[in-house]
Amino acid sequence: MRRRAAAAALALAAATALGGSAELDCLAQSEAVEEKGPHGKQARFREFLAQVHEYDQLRTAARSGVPDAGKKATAERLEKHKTTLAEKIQAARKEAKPGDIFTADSQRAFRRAIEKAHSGKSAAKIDRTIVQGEPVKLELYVNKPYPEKIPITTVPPTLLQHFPKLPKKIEYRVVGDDLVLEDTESNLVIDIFPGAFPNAPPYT
Amino acid sequence: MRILIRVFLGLLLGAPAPAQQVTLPQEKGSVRFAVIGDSGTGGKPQYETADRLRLAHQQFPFDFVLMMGDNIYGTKTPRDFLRKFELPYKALLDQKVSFYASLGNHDVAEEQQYKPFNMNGQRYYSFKKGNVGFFVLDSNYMDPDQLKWLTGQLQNSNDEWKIAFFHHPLYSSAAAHGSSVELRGILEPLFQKYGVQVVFSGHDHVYERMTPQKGIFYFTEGSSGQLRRGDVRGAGFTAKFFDTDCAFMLVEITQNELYFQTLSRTGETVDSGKVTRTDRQKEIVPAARQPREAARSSYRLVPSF
Repeated sequence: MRRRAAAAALALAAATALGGSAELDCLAQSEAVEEKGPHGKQARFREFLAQVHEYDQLRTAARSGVPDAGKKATAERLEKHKTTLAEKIQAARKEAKPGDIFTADSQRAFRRAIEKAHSGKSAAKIDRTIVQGEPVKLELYVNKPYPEKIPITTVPPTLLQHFPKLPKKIEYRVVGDDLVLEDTESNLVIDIFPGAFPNAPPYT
Repeated sequence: MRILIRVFLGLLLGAPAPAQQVTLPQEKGSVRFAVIGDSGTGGKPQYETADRLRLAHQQFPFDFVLMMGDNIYGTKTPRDFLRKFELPYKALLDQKVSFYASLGNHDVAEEQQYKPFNMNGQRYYSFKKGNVGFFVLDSNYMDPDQLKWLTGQLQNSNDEWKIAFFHHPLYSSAAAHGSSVELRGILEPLFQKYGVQVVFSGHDHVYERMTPQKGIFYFTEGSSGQLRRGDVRGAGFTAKFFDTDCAFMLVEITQNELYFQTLSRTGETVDSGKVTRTDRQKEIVPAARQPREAARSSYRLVPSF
């Protein structure tokens, strides 16, 4: 709780320091406010964050015995690390299915966050960001790799302000009208929220 | 006459024509680098542009190369890293030229740990060269943490020149993608406030230089591996563009000037000029120690084409 308050204070301080940027001030202040209290962002996404945390722990366990690629690796080491880690995670999550992490409650929370992000002036900009990021419609599967040949869609910064923060190397993806959670270390799809963006801009 | 013979023989043998004269001043102690974008196709255009870059390096021995993202298209096997990066730039790598990469939408996270990209395992990072601070962003995923990091970095920077680079252009008149307006609304106020003078991006597979926007010079260089021919529509902010062949940039920074020269795959100079720091800009001190207004700066561009 104390950490959350500190994060909120930091966001507010950053916003104050920025001064000239009304848009950024607004974003940072809203984030600071959003973080606080029993109905704050972290609270609304508590169940989701608990599931993500569980996945993160599973991944940490899976890393043991996997050769670390380090920060200055060769392509071969990177490949080895990614594929070995992915195999271990896939084995540990054999029964994983859509909705394990994006539970019904979590989906409701995300839908509200998406609606909120789209309710302001930013709506058109959000859609434009998605379109410019070469949107795609893919058939993705939980616990299977995100196809590397396919570009990733830019995640609109405004959406990220409304979504809960994720552990390192786990990221949101917008794929067609779905919201996808991806493990960027193993390149696996962690979970999918189908139809999270019912009014998604056209994809290629 | 001798040059003509060399060109003829070069064409005959399939070798590139001699590079056009690099006109950058090459002042003692200057910071010298190249800019490539959307390079990692592994195709003939990338190899030919890379070879032109190699020739330019012979005339203008830059120390490092900025990569605007889409460094490795398609699959990402070790063979791909070899074919789409290590081989085309082998001559430069062999001469210890460093590469500093940013991530594009065709890249994957593991590239952060790929040694030759110098990202040290980070999606976003900064580095210094002489009097220049470089701020490398991940524009695919501009989350609050990254914005806080950037704010802190810029606040604490006392570099005379501040340069940001990332994949998605804040200004672009190309038809394929165009300006990243949402990102612009978030990043540009920071750049303005903390005196970022120059921004390089890629994503659109063309070269485009913008007129200064709010005192900041924007360049798009996304044609070092493939070209979207005729894609630039031109806009009010377009100062110069080149969309009929692949290209790359050469940049030299002295204390008060930034010189640039953009070369095509055939060695033609398609744009050049210099940005001069004004007296006001010279007085920049870290933002934490100055009143807000003083952080803003103005520049003069002297095109030489």
